[in-house]
Amino acid sequence: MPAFALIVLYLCLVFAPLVLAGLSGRPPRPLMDELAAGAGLVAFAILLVEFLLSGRFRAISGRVGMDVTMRFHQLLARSALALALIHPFLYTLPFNRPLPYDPTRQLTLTFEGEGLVTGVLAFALLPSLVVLSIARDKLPYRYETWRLAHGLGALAIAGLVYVHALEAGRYSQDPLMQGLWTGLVALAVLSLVFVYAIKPLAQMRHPWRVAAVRSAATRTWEVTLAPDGHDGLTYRAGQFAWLNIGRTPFSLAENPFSIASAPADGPEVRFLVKELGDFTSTLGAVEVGTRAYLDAPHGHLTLEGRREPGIAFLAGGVGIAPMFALLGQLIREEDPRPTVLVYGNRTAAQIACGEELARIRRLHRTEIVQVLSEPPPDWDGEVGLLDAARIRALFSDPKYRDWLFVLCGPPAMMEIAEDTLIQIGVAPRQILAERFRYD
Amino acid sequence: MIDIGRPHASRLRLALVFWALNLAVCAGLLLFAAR
Repeated sequence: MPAFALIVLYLCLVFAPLVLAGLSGRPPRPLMDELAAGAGLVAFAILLVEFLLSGRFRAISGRVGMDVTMRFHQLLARSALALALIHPFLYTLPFNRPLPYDPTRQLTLTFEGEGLVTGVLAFALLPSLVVLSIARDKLPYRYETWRLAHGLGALAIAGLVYVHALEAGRYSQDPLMQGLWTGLVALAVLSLVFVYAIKPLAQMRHPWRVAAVRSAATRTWEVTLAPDGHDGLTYRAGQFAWLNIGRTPFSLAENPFSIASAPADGPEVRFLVKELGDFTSTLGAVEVGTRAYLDAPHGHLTLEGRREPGIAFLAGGVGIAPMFALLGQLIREEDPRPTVLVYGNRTAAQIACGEELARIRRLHRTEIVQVLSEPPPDWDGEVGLLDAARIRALFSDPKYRDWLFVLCGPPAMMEIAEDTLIQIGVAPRQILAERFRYD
Repeated sequence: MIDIGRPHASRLRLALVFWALNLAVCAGLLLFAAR
């Protein structure tokens, strides 16, 4: 069970400094002082583990999903912060210079010079890093600026805590503990080097070219990329890519988009991109032939190994992209299972790739339910929102209990859909969902 | 933060794992401090 293995690995890494401290042979101090030291050790270990949970390592996100990886990154940051904040306040021993008759530093705390400065700086910076991440959407910075500041800030804090531990820490005086910290800090640095240098270098060897850009719907573009001098991408239908168009692969300006094409469609990959005010607003002006780079494949919204007797796809807006890929793959594989696609939009002009929907209906006999909240006068589809009442009305029939449900769309829609499906008796393991927004 | 009260199975599972990890860390810290 991969998730279980990751949990065990996490606990091993987090408890490693406590075990080394316990085995160091140094006599224990009062309970509160040992708790203080332990909190600091664990907080540092979690902080370093966070570098591996950035979502770009398929060994982790490929096993438990990008959503879960990113959520744990966010949640464990809060745990590390709480431990780091209580760490200095639990000490009860007096501050003093090392005493000649106390070689194991059992009786006093030594907190001066570099150990003091680095500790205070890290104590001030860590809350800023966490708060600025939680409030990212409310800040007047571009995502790329935040991402750079977040990476450099985290690295700076790790460096400060490293010096603080080695200078002021009692247990971090032991060579084994120093080796552990050096190893974990090196791993953290390497994780950034991997993401920001090694991956871009690898992408340079596998460039792509924009083969076509066309309007798929109002403020939604269909971008097709063709491999430039290589065989293309090995991926599964429903996965997504970090897409970088017209910039160097070292640029931080890349965004995650679902791949709307299926592997069986050929080496070209297709994306549906909605204009959201950032670089996506300039996509219409991108020229054919522009160089592009992909960090892919990522994500677990795939049908591989799923044996449910039927599949329902619930898409909101541009969330239709992975559904095109998944349904396209089912068509290519001549999968006989019944399928239903529920596709919600505000207006008819927002319906993407109408001809592809017609092709899916024709080739796979997929039942397509279109829902518009602001329909035109001649609209013959459903009217309203893709809300709980509609999902109940569509899927309350007991025959859907064993089906697989694939969700992609705005966060509010996904939450309502998941809650409602569970309420009407669909098992959580039969619901596949992937979000692209993290707080 | 995760809203643990909602009948949202995947988030509930994630929240349970998160708090179980926190509990394990607290237990480990207490064992370490009281050794």
